Amino acid sequence: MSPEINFSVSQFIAVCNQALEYGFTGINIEGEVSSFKINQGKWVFFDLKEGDSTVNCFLPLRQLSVALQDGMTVRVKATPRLTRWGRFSLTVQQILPLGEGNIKKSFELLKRKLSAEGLFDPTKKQPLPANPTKIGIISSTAAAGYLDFLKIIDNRWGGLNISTINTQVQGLAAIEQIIRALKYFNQHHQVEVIAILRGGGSADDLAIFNDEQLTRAIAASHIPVITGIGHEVDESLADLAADVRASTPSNAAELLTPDRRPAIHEAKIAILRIHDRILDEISRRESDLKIQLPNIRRTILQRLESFSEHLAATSKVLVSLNPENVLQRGYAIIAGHTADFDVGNVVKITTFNQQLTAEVKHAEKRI
Amino acid sequence: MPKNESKKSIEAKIKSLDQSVEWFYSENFSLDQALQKYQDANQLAQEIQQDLSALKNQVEVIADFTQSE
Repeated sequence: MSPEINFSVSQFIAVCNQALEYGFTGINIEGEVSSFKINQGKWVFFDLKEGDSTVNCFLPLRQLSVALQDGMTVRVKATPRLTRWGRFSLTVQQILPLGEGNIKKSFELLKRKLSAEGLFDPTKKQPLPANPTKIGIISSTAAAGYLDFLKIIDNRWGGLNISTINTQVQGLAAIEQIIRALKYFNQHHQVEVIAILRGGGSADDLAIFNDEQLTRAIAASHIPVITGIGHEVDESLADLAADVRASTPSNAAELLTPDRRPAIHEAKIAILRIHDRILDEISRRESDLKIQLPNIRRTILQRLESFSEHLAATSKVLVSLNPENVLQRGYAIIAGHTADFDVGNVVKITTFNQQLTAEVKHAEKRI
Repeated sequence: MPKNESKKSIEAKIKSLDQSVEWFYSENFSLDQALQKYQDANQLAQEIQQDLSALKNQVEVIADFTQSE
C-alpha cells in the first residue's frame, strides 16, 4: 500500500504542473480554433476543438506568429498547465495553420498586416553582392534542395567559402532554428549573403515559411537574404521579406554566382577577336597598298617623262654650244692671252678644217 | 585567404584581358605592338581558362541547430 501524501492546494498544482511538464514536453496538438480573442492587447485566448473535445489555449500576443481566425485548423506546440484557479490549459509556444485553405487564409491576413508595416517594401531591399565569396546557408544538410544548390554552385563557380547551419526546414521546431541561424550569421559577420534553402513540399511542409517571427527575422537581417524555398509557384511570407526571392534552391545558386563556363568561353572569344582584328588590319593595309600602287607607278612614269624632256632640252643647248659647230659656221678660234695680241706676236688660229700660225700685223682697241 | 586571392586574381585577369581587347579596337592600336600584345593576351586567356576550371568550393557545416532541443 502506497503511503498517503498530503498537499496544500498550491503544492498540488505545482506537483501537477511538474508532472505535466515532465510527461508532455514539446507536444504538438492539432485541432480547430474557436473562441479566438485578444485581451488587453497582450494575451491571446482560444479553444482548440475536435468533435466534442475542447482544450483552452493561451499565449502572449507577441508570440503569435500566424494570423488566426475561428474555424482554422492548426497544429500547436504547447505545454499543458494547471492554473492556480484550477483550470487546465495549454500554454502555446508556436502555431502552424494546417490545410491549404487555412494556410492561404492565414497567409493573406498576415501578409496584409506585415505589408502595412513596410516589411515587404521594395525600397528597403538590399542588393545581393555581385560576386560573393562567403555564403551562409540555412538549410537541412540532408535536404535535396540543399544538395541541388551545392551541385549547381560547384558547376557554376569556385573558390567560395560556404558556411552551412543545419536546421530543420519543416515543422514547428524549424522556425526557431532558422531564426537562430539568421541571428548567428548576423552576429558573426562572416558571410556576405545568407541563403535559406528548402526543396519542394506540400503546403503544410512549407507553412513555417509563413511564420510571422521568421518573416520579421528575415526582414531584419543586416546581411542580404536570398530565399530558395519550394518551387516557382510557392510564394511565402519569407520570400516576400527576403531581399531576393529565388524560385528554387538551384535558382538561388544561379542568382548568387556567375557561370564559369561562359567566362571560359569569353576568354577564348577575346583571343579570336584580337586575332580577327590583326588580320583585318593587315588586310586593310594590303588593300590600301593595292589602291596606292597604280598612283605610285603613274607618278614614277610622270617623273621619268619630265626628266627625259629636260634631258633633251639640255642636250640641245649643249649641242648648240659645241665649238666645232661654231667653226663649221665659218668662225675661227684665236688661241692666246690678250697680251699676246700685240703687233709682231705670233698666234695660233683654228678654223673648221685648218690650223694656222699667224703674226699680228696691226692691233687696236675695238670697244 | 588564398581562395579569395585566387578569385580576385581571376577577376583581375579577366579585366586585364578585356582591356587588351579594347586596345586592339582603340586608336592606340599599332601593328608594331600588336604581336607582343597578342602574345600577352593569349597567355592571359589560357591562365583564365585554367584557373576557372581548377577552382573548387569549400563547404563547411559550422553549426547544427537541430541538435539543440
